[in-house]
Amino acid sequence: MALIPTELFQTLELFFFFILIGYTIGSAFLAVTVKSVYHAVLWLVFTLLGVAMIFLLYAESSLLLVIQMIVYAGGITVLFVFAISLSGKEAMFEEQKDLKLLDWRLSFAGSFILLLIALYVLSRVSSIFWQKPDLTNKPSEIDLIRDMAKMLFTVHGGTILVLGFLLLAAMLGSVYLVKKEVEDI
Amino acid sequence: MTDLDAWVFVGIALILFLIGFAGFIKSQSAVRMLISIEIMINSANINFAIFALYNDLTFVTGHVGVIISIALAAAEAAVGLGIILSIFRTHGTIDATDFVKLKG
Amino acid sequence: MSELVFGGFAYLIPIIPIIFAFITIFFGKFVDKKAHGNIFALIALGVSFILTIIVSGEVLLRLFAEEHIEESLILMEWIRIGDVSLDFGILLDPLSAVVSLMVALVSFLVAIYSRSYMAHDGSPRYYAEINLFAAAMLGLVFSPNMIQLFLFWEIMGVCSYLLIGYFYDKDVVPEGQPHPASAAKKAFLTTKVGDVFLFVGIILLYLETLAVNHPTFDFLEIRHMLEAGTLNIDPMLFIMIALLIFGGAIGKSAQFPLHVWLPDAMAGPTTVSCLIHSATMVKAGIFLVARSYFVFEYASKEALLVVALIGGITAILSGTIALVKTDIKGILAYSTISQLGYMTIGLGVGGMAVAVFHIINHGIFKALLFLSAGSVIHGSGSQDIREMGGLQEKMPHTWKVMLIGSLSLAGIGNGFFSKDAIILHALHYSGLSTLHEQLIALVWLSSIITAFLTAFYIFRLWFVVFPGTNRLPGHHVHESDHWMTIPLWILAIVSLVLAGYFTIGLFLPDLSFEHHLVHWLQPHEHALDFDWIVGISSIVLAVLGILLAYLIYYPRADAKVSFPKGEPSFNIEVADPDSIAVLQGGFRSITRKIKSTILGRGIQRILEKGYYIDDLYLALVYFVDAKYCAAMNWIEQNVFDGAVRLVGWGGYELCGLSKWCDDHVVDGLVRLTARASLALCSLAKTTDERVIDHGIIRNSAKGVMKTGGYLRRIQTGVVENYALYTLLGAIFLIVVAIIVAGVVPL
Repeated sequence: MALIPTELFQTLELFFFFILIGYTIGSAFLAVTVKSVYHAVLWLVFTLLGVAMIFLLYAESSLLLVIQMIVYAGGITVLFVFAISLSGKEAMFEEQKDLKLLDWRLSFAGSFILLLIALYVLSRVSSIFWQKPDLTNKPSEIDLIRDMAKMLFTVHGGTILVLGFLLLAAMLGSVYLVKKEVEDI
Repeated sequence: MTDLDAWVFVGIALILFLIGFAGFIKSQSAVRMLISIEIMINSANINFAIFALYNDLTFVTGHVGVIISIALAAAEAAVGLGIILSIFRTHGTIDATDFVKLKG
Repeated sequence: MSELVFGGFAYLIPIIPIIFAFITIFFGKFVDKKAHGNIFALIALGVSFILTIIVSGEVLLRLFAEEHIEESLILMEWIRIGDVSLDFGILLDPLSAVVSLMVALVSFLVAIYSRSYMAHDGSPRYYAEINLFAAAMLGLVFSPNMIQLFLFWEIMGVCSYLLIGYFYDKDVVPEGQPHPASAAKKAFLTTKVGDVFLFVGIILLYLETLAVNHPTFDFLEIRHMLEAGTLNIDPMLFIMIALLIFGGAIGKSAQFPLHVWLPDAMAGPTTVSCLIHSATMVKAGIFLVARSYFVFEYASKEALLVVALIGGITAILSGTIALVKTDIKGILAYSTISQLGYMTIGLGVGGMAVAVFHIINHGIFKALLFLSAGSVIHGSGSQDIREMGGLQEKMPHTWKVMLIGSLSLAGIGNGFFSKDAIILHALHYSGLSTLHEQLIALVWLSSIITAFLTAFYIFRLWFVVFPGTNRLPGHHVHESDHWMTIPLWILAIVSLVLAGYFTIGLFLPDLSFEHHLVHWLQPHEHALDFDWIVGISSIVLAVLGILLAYLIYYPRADAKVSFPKGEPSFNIEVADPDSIAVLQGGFRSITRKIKSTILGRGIQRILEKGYYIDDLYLALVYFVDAKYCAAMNWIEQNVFDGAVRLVGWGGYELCGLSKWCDDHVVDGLVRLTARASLALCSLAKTTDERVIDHGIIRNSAKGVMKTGGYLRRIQTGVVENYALYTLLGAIFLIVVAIIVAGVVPL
């Protein structure tokens, strides 16, 4: 690091940040616009990896990176791929049809209003709220994870329990949904 | 690391959310709808993770939130894809605009 | 002791082909279109070859001049975890210098050869993978530590998978041959079994270094620690580590229990087979054992005994299978396994340097043989030697180089020197006990028999393919073009020059390459002097093998050869037999008689099936699978079903009880109530019809209908619209929340 002057280093970091953001948002955009649904899943993976990088670099949490990579980029996308493969050839491409929307313009107007509200709120909040805190006293990540593990089983124990039931229900539900009818067997 | 303010990430999350929402509105394929939902969930996760760091260094509730949200997303994807598959079985298509059984 | 001048360039040797592999993938479609981007492979492997000559050549010249040089290391830190640092780097020592020269030469020649051979089937993907494959082997050869070695080892595994399965979309496969895609899978999975052993071995060795507070993966450091005696490892564990590392070599170098993938790997293009067999893949296993030989040396001799036994079994097993194969590549494949068995024997009897010596010689002549086989296949359009014959006139270059290669493999050319050295080492090996020495004697016997078999089967191949008349009329047999013959001649000349140089070494021991090699690689060992009795007897064996093949298979002058279907043997009809032809006829009738007995047929069948090892594995997998399924089925039927039935029975009984209650108790009550309510109802009915129906309900229903009529337009049934309502609702809630929270003062 000593080889590169600090200013140049910061510029490079900023440059990298923009590349990362462009990459994440660009692949999210492609995920909802490309024609082939398979490709959309691919771009979704790239988006998820970009978000994982944000977790690592800017939220300073490698745990979240790992979870994001394993569960999201690794697990859920495979589900997607299987679902597409199982639902036939027509599923791979979207046919361009007329939207049967009530009024899709309304939806974009709604989104725009949301954007405006968000920008307004962002501008109203005191700038101290946004500032990055001093990270010199930040406890080590091992301690943070240990704290979190404790909290998961004390403060958030109920949530975890509910989550467990939810996952169980989801598993049983999806098994039930995709189970063939009895007559078929 | 250059110090970036939190609103940068809130903005990124917002853009991701809007992209996801627009995708949800626009798409016909049910799988694409689920993909858009995942993008929206991710934008929420960014907010959780960023504010966990920016508000309080030892405050890990944000991370717990992300983990819960990811678990929820996994459950949602599993059930959603199960629904898509069973719809495909019964209707032979997964074009969401084709099911208008709820139409009043 | 001065530093190496060109050592700094060494890291470019593997890196350039890797970079060019990616360039080829992306730009191979646009540049050098006709040859599918072959130019990139030529440049990358050519530059890499020249650099290897410069770097390794300097090392070797210095070695010749000074007899001993320090190992030269170039290291870059890759990852640091605590005190452990993982490095990427280059280790320049005699071993890597010698092997890298052979690897770079063969892969460069394969790249040249591919230009013509793969003119029709090629693609940028092919050249990219060839580049990566060669780069991985070069990187492995120069690896200074076990992790880098393992990394390149795995890259090579992936490349072999991709290249063996190159024709993955082939529709029709010749009978008896595996489909490329399944052959690729088989190769990948079988070698993966060995890789797991290797990885466990590496980690165990690492844990031992960790136990003495000097954690390292570095070959040199571990060797120094072993030499200094600072590493005290439990003897049994040490043997286990050595055998686990050898397990990796068993998988990669296709030794006895895991050799099944190599014959199937013939499904790839011939150039790929050449790379796999002579330069890259299978040599990596032997190289690994040679590189970590200090582990075997310091572990007990039992580990080496296992190595030697495996080598002996492999050598004779595949040597016998090669006798009956009729696929030209199949014969060469089994001969490779057999030769690898030789190298393993060499390692097992303490002759690491002679094993490395055999790596070099075998690399040269096997590349020569495989490329000539490719030329034969290219020219004759067939892989079955029964359909060839009479190619001598049509392929004037190929038959000559193939003869040189065959002689070398049979033990008369450059192959003689290393093979003989291995046999000599096996003969002079002193074991721990009588049993140990007896086992080694068996291994030695196996190597002697294999030498004879090798000479026989390779000349069976040569005599059936080249002399005589063509048995597949209708196909235009042609000699290959210069892109293919020039590499062949280069390899042939290298083979001849090496043979000449080694012959000089026999008479002037100071120039003997083998002695130098032993001195460089095993400084503590004493090089064995050439033993004329062993040498001459092994040449005599080779000549006997060739003679036998000549007597049985050589079609003289105007002889006609035919292979009738269903018969184990073949017919040669000679118009007017001379004395030699009569002798040949006698030999053939004896062979036919032996082959037509029940025992002969049985042995032939067993050999053709490769000792049923494949079938055994398959049956084992099926057996385990079937047992598992049966067990699961039993549990399902007896445990789960029983529980379900129990619940069902309970429910049924409960229902019966409640039915009784219903019939007797409830019904009576119901009837009573019904009478009373009937009376009440008739009263209410009158009120209802008059007042409520006409007055209140109709009007309110109409109101609801009208409202619903307006509202139903919202309910489109389209999911997106519901999402939209959700969004609008969310906006509303957010606005309310903002106002309530007081962020925006109203």
